[in-house]
Amino acid sequence: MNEKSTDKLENLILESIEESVINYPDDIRIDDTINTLKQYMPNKLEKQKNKEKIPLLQKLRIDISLVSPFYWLLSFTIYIIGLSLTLISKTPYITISFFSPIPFIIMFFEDIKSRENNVLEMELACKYSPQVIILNKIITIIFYNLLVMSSISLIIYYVVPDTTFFNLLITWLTPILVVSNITLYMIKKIRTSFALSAILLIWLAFIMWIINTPTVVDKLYTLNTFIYIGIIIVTTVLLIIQLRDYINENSERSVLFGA
Amino acid sequence: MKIQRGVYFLELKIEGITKNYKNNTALDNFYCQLNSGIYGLVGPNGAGKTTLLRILATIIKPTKGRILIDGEDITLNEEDYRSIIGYLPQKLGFYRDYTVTRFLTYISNLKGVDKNLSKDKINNLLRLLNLSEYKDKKIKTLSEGIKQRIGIAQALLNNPRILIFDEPTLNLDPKERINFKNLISRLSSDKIIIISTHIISDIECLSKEIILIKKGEKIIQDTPMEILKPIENKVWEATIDEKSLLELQNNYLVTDIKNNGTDIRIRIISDTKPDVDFYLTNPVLDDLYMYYFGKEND
Repeated sequence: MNEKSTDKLENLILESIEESVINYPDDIRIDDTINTLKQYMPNKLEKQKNKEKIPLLQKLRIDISLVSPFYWLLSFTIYIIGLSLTLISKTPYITISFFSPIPFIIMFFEDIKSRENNVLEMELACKYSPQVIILNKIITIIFYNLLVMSSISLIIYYVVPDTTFFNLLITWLTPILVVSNITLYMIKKIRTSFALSAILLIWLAFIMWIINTPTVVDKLYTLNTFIYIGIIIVTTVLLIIQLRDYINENSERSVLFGA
Repeated sequence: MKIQRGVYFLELKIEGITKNYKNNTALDNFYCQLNSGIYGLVGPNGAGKTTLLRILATIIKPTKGRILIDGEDITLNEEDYRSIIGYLPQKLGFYRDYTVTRFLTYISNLKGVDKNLSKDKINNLLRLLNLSEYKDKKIKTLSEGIKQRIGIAQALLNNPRILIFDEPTLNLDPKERINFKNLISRLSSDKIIIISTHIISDIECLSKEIILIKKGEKIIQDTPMEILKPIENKVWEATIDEKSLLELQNNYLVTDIKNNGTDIRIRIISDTKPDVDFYLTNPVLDDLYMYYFGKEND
């Protein structure tokens, strides 16, 4: 094809393009196109409905199975020993606050354990998302511990004279929240069970120091209730923030860089 | 479009996946399309195989790109996507004090397998993988080979439609390797099975396609026959003496050396005939591996 005929063809095409009119589609055709494409859009409502289908009991069974039976047994043993000690103790408030954080410290062994054993990578590929697995483990354990501690407080309240249920609640809740915050901070920095063992030992040493220092015991007894409540509020907020960060960074980082 | 079980058409698309870490790029704009069948993911250590499989298993998130299953981005419904995958990681870990049955029950709970079905499913898998005699044994008492089989069993618990295996034959003895290959080929009719390995013989006869990966990039993806085309008429073989071996190793890409005691059989990749004693031979996947990765391994 020579240059002349190419130019001619080009002009012809340009003319026909200029003459052609593209009509703006009417509303019905636009709606039809949207309706046709709708089937390819993810249906959020349907997803929501599917998620609600898991019965509560089944969910609870799954959540409980996430935690090893050893943990349930160990924490329950600690509570029984703690309750016995509190019932025979002359200072029930102090005794209850000493043993209450221990199951919470051990709780984090549960999470660290799966990372140290390299199970996490297998767990993360399962249906339930990494965040859900870790969060459910922690929430299940927290609820279990709070339930047991509340029951223990009720027993002490009825058995030990001159105790008030509210004071019992705040005296164990405060050390639990303070120690849980420190524990979480430590395992975010040092990602091994060594950190937890260290915290456990420090806490036990702290208990021994307080037992042998009556002036500190007196001060703890006479501390204003509002100070306890203030500490509880601040540490609860801090714990929620720390847990959120911990869960978000936990999955990928743990797999990539180990425990 | 919703991810559904029992639908036989399956298409997995990896679109421009990039994964950057602080100082390096593990995967670089990786594209791939997979349908039912077995795919061998081959590359040297550090090529990006494990990163790719971890992204496919939603363990880690890509820096860029997306994965589509039957046209739907997996991030839109990760829970549904995870319910159709089975994943065997390279580094296997177990709760050492669990028995085999307890561990598999635990994983089946995480996978959301119906409790009424999971017991039968576990027993079937224990039988299939010759693990029945160990079902009540604590995992810490078992050998690495048995642990590997438990790992394979957990990947199959939810009857997955996509199976992702990272170095599945690592701790298996030759008999177990054959059993594994038989099992995989039986499963492959309606599943996408991705097997990462650097042991070519494990996937040579099984794979529908082989994907070669190097420094985070896909080099080539094709059938085992077609993939050999780049080295057709380039593989030479000869019987040599020990004196010539060093010289040939220095000057050519040697893909295999077999010492029979008296003489040495050598395979070489070269565009031209290396020496008068050499004759052309059919290329195999091991040659291809050396062709692409031989220098890197050195």
